[in-house]
Amino acid sequence: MGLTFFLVFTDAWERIPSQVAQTLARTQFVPSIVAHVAGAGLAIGAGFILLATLLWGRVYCSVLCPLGLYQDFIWWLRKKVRSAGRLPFMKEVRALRWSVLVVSLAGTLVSGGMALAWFDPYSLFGRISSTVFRDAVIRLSNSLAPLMAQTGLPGWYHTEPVWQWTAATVCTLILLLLVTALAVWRGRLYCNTVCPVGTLLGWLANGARWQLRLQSTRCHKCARCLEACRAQCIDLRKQKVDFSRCVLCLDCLAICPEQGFQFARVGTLFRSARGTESETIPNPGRRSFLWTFLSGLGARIVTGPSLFAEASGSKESDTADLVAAGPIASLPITPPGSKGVHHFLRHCTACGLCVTACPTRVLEPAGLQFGLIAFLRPRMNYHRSYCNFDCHRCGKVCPTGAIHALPLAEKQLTKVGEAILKLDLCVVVRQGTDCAACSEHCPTQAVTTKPYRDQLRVPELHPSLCIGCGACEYACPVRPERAITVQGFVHHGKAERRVDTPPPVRPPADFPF
Amino acid sequence: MKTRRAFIKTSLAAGAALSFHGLERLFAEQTRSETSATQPSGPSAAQTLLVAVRDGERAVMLNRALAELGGIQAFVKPGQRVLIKPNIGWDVPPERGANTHPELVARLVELCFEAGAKSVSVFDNTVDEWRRAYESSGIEAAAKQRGATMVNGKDESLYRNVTVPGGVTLKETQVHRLYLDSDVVINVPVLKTHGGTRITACLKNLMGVVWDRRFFHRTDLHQCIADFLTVRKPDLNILDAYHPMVRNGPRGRSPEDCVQMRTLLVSTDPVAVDAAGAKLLNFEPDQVAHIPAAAKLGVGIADLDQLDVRRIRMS
Repeated sequence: MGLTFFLVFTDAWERIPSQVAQTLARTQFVPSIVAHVAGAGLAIGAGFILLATLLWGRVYCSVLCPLGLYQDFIWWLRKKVRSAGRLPFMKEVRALRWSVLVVSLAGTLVSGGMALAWFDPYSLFGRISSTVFRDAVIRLSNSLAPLMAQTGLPGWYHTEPVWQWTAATVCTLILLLLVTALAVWRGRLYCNTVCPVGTLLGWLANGARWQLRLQSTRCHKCARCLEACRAQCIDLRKQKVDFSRCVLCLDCLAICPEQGFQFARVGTLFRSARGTESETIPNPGRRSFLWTFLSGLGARIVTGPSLFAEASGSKESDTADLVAAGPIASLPITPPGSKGVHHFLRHCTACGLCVTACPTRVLEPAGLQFGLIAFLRPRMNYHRSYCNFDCHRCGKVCPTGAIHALPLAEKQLTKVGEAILKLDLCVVVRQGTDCAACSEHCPTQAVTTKPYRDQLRVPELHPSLCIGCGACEYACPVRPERAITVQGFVHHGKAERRVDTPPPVRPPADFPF
Repeated sequence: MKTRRAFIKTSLAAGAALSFHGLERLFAEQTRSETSATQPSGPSAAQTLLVAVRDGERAVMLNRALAELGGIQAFVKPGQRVLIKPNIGWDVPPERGANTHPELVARLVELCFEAGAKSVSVFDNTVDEWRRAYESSGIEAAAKQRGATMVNGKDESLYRNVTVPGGVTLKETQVHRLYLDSDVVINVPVLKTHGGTRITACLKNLMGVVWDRRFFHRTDLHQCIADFLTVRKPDLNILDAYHPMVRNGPRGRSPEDCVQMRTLLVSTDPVAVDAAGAKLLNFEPDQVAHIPAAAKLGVGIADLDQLDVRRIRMS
């Protein structure tokens, strides 16, 4: 599973079908819930995860979460290199766990997916992979390319590395180093002290039907289990397992020479053995949580997506009144299907799946363009590339509904911004030589050329046709400031479609020469 | 005021040119029909040949035109490595006329292998995303099916810096090594209008073997295009004017931007082909500034009167 996620996020050739990538991401807890709220899909993935947690504990953390699996990989490597020894039981840092969860949830209520995104393990893993790991995979693939060409294996081609030295990439690298260092030092420390999903699922796991328990009658406190446990959740003194922090690796089951650990149904084995245990049997709070969740799911099925869409839509239009209509120079441009900055930022968890999927690589994690809170959310960088007219992969992979999967015809009329032409900077005006790089690239004929002095042709802008794809800005050869730039729209609009008249040239009946 | 007047004048002139076009034809020399084309077809002593074929299917016209030039064997010898350079600039299907038609490329690949070519490579430094353009254009499938190799045009490590021997403006540039190292280079552009350079044909198509096109655009585009020919002239130039794009070029918006002309121009001289191509789109060669610029550098002939033009009708 971890390998699958790794492959999806490091897809150097953008080959993995978008449907596969999206479906895989929807198995994740946070994207599944955000998609539900965004009206982009039902929270089936999250439903299964909650159900599984109430039955067996943190199954998600054990087999589904890509960040968890990455930490397991690092932990495994570390043990290969040098034995970690015995990690002593660590007391739960409850204050930190719950404050991260509360801040994340509160932030989510106020500003949507943004707050959750910081600590959501799936998004964190995606963000790291799509920037750091993908670059490494591309470089490796490129270094193999000449060899592959010699051996005659067709279709192995060079592709541009994605790493650039920006604040966004450096911060992503630091995040990776932090997560890795934590994993080397203390295994699943992140999952047990920081991760908000881990905290929530851990709370539910305390009431799981089947739980891992240490039988005090068998335990001789040999502490072999402490060598295996990556979660530091076995308290040998009290001979108890903190099941809220157990990530279900089940290594202790195998390593214990006395078979002291048992994964058994709560309430049959333990209630009779130890009366006190019955206190932690599934309690009403956890049950009701699941029921609330399921009824939310039901309501969504009954009402359809409109309920949530309208609710979020009205909020967005409130904020829209504050901003003047029309293009804004400093506004980062969000991909078509994201409806505008507000919708996009409310639902994007910055997992970077669209960044990996984008074949032109116009999508990249933003620096501070959206402001500090939306750091690392993808934006379209027209100095790097432009949005391909006949492509809408980003909408097809987005698991959260931040970028809706528009039909191609609709995408081709979606106005994410508008070009601004500064003729005084244009090559044709300044140097008196032809250029037309902008009009050449324009897919909608929003930039054409018209006659100018001395037989030259100068660009002419038709703003109503412009969809803001950035092809003109990308192509413009003028530096440092480009003569044509695209400015973002707070709310994406709709471009006009040019009406075609029959072509002006009739085919000659004979050779014209 | 002045520009408006100039604009009206230009439009009037263009209108007049269009309306007189038919009249002009009445006085034009009678074109060679397929039957009369069996006249001596060996290369005439000094004059460059320009073969213009019309009213046939692409592959058939190609066969016919090459027969006039001594067959593909005159250009491709057994064991040689051939580069075919079509226009694959855009991520659009063949009917849009923005890229060279895959049928033409396919036939050309076949011919090269029939002549004993050791390898046939095809590439373009595309404008749109290259893998999508290769696929949508139909060229990748057509070429691969006939045994050609599609090469990555977006890999800077495959480009080499060269000096431009006769360059007026362009002194050095990075060129794809296949263009420099192949034994035979066959230039197969599609004829289109172009918002900046008026038309795009043989000379403009060669910008697709150059890495840094922005330098061309900001430093006298026409002169750079002409200068580049002094690096190496393609050995054979085949212009696909079957369904040329007559407006909204070079990308176009729909198949309605094209008209059916069913014409193919072939010559060893890319300048000559472009001069004739310009005429097909109602431009005088002099209006397309890189054509006279190239002629001035002595890399080709823009004056059609100085050429041995073979006009062939297939029907």
